Amino acid sequence: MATGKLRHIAISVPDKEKAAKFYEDTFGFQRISESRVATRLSDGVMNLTLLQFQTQEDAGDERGKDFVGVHHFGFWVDDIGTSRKEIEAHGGKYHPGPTAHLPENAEHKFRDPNGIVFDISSHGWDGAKR
Amino acid sequence: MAKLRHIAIAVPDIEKAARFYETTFGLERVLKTAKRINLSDGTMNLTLMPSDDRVGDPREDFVGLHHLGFVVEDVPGTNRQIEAHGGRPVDMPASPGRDHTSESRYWDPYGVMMDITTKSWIGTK
Repeated sequence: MATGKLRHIAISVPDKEKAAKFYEDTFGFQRISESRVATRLSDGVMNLTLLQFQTQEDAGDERGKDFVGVHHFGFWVDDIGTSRKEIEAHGGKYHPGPTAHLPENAEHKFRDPNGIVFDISSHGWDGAKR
Repeated sequence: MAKLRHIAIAVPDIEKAARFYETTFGLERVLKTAKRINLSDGTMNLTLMPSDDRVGDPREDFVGLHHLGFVVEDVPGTNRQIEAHGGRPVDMPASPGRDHTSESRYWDPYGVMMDITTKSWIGTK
């Protein structure tokens, strides 16, 4: 069995700057990095990413770019190929995300058997500690 | 600083969903109650809850990532901070006998539900 550490939670919001301030000011999270569609915060162990999709392509699934809420979560794994086999053997499905402007860690998205979206990464997320 | 240590997923069948995360990622089952299965990776708590248990959520039979949980040092102080920054309390139905880890429950300014506790969740560190 592969092992995974849950270290990433992504929330889609209308304004990532405002949302990041909420989590910084309320909970003391630290801002680690930013990109066109993402602001990444950390509590020292967990990565909390605020997403602000600009296009439907950024959003990558039927929920669309205006979806607001907890969008996906992510597991830090040893090996993408091994984990992919485990995921698919247990009823998960590969979920190709946006084809352009890929955030660094978003390239391997899946759906669990209930359709819930998660991603896996072998190099973790900014600000996360394994 | 608060620590993000809990995420709850609402699903039609908590047993089946728990098995997916146990067998795929090696998460450990640390607690099972009638309405919850708590899994842990040693640091984070992942809880499966039935999608018909709405706990103050207006979304009927929602399946998906339901809420987050933060471990804090001071619940009333955190509640004040949340409200000062635009969050609002979740209007919870009375639920006698329910075993809650959370000490308060809020919506963030965007409608993300969050639990607040000093006691932490089982399986976290």
